[in-house]
Amino acid sequence: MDQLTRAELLLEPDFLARLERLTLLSRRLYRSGSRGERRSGTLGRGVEFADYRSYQVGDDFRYVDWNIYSRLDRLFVKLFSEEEDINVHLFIDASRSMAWGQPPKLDYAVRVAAALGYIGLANLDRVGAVAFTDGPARVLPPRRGRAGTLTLFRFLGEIAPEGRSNLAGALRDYTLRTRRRGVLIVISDLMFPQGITDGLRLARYHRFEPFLIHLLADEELTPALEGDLRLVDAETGAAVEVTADAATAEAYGRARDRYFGEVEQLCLRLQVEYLRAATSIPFDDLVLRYLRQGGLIA
Amino acid sequence: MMTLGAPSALWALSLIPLVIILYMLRARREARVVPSVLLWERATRDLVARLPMRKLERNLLLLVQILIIAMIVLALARPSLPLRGFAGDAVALVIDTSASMQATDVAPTRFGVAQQEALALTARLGPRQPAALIAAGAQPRLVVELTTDRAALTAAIRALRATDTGATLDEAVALAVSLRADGRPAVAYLFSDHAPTQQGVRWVKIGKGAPNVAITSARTRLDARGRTQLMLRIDAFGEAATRQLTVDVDGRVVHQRTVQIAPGSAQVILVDIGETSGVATAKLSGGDALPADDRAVVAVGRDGLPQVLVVGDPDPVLDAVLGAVPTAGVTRTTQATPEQWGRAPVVVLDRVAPQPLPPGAYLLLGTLGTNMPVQIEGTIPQQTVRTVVGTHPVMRLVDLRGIRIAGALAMRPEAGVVLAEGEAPVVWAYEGHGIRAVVLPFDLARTDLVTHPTFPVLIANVIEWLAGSSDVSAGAAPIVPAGTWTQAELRDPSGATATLAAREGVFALPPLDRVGQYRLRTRGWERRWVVSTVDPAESSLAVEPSPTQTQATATPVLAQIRLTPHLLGVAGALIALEWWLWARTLARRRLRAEPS
Repeated sequence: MDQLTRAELLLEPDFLARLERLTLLSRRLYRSGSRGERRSGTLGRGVEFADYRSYQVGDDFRYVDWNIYSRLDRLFVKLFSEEEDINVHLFIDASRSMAWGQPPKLDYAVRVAAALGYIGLANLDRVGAVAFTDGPARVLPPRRGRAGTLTLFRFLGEIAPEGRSNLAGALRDYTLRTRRRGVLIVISDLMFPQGITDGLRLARYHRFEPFLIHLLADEELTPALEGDLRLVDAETGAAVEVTADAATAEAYGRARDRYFGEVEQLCLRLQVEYLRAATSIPFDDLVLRYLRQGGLIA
Repeated sequence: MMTLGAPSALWALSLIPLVIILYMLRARREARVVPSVLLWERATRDLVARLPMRKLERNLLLLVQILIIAMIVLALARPSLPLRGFAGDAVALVIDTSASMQATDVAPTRFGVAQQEALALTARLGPRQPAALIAAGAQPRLVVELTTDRAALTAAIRALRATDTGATLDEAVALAVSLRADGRPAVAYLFSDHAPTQQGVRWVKIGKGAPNVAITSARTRLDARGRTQLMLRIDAFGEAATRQLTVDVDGRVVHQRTVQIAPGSAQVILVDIGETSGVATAKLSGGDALPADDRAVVAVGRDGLPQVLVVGDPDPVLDAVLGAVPTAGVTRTTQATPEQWGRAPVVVLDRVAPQPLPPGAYLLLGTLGTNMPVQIEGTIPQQTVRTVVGTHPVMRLVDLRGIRIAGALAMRPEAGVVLAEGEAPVVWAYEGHGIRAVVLPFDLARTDLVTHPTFPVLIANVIEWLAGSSDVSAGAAPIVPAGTWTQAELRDPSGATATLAAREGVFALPPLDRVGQYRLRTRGWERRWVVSTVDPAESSLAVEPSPTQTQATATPVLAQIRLTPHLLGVAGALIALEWWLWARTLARRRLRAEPS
């Protein structure tokens, strides 16, 4: 009951109503096997006229344009854009580092995933979700239609931070497990000791369309530390001794910016959409403004 | 080159390693869990790439603390830096004028060399550098106060003369360093053949040492037949000597002999002078490095002793005692007026009605001067002397304990010294306002004192103290009651005369710093003093290096910029900086600790 309540409270009703007007965008359209509310690149049995072509043996007579035949005495068939759904994979980092921040990064990530999932479900897309650590810890298989909203929310509400994170490992397992390619929305702080290159390459290899949402707490952007410290990694237990002062803060800033630059360059090279956000950004702004600007929803 | 006033303070620099150790102990790191150390590891690599500067910044507090300690320790070491082109510290030139400075082991004499060195130093002083001159004789004398008048200083140095006295070097140096210019003490330069015992004095050593033979003591005594005997002590310093000794009295040779003395030893020689009076002079022939101590002068017979005027009714016992003690003569009268009292060197007032005393020297028997600081509270019928002060010259070899006295005045002195007392003072010595007096407040006829063997000794001591001894050591400065006389003429052994004016009833003589006879003459009386020998301590002409004092040269005196105040100022600024750094760090930590 608690989980249900928490799931229901993930998004406000008013906010959900605003989400219903939005659609998930994809550079490529993926055949999911069922018609959706999205125009497919495939010309077929949709309702929206696209073109004509000469009749071929075997074509359905129902699509012959008899008006043209009467004028030109030639058979042409009408071609329509086939409307298809897409597969949306919400890949949420549930490692221990996601517990940091105000609000915690994981809470923020869950709400973002809920919003994107709701948009997908409202548009008859197939939406699945994965809470990953060093593997897919929990998996919600893709489902379609508004009826899956509560299940999705309940799944998201049950995600708790635990363990280490390994994007490549998690994706490797997941891509072997599913054959539904689609939009892969990774929501994470990207604090992976093994890096993100292998994971993203793997996703591209399996023809996923990754969209990377990089969440960071303010204290990660500008650490509020001072004095002689032994910093212990919440996930790995690795320690680094630092004397936190102005020079160290500057060095941290340089390392942070360099890391962000590397991530951006990688995403550019692998054609991965990338959006970086601090958890201090209002959630509504992220979804309704920045994700739209980032081209994930329209 | 920088010099350190207290180099031992540098030992305190050993505190620096202690601070470093404490710093290392303090740097225990606090564990803090963070989401990831991914970026911190990258930042650390970045910091390592900038390590030298980084270390410097990281240890800024430690560096500041080390600097603070270094500054304070250096300040305690009292460093100073000589700088040319600045008006240097004031300089006090202390020139030894004692007898040994007359030694000729360096040409022309030690004193001459000291003058030359002092003049050379004076010539090298900066134009605005003040200097003073102090003569270190029997008493230190500030000859020229701190001045930039080089001509006056040079003239004063040239006018100085060596004397036959000893030297009070430490007092002279103390006087020198007490001089201050612009709030800073003068730098003392001592030109002497003896090292000072004080630190911080620049000693310019004079002389190189020489053997010497000297008459170190000359005294007379009367033998049982009433003949005067001259007792001489002759010392040989450094090497054996054979010298011819000649003794004359007022120019008439009375004795001659050859004296052989082993090195480092002394001979005492007795010479029978006979019954003559006058001034005896003993001379050692042959030259040595210090001629001044080859001669001794003594008064023989009654020459130089004071005349005594006795006022009062005849007293055979007193007359007999006065006739036995050394005086130039005793005059008795019953009619002398106070004006006449003041003209005699020593006056004995025997039961004379109390009245104001004019300045002079008095033995008061059974009476008092009404202008003396004493109260009379009746008489004491009978008393016995119980306590005496044995250290006063009047009480030398005198013990009055047990003496019984009847009918003595009950004195209550308000000044002076009580030398013996029973129920009340029975011997009181007073000196002031031109009066020097010894009071025995009783009638000699009503005491058993006169039958006691110490009575003549007491009276002899009293007369000698009142008149002052005619045998004085070199450098003594006698003070003589002037009586009613206002002026006197002083003739020194060389025959030079000077006029002395009486001040507050006394003639204050300058230091008698030459061997020989001094005469002080008024219209009514004449007093003589004889300086027998040079100060015996001056006859050894060895110039030994001091274990505690390094020898200096009369090098140019540069301004000594004392760095201690500057270093303490820097240390203060560093402490403020350290405090600021610490406060800033603390404030940052507090700011970070506040919940966001």
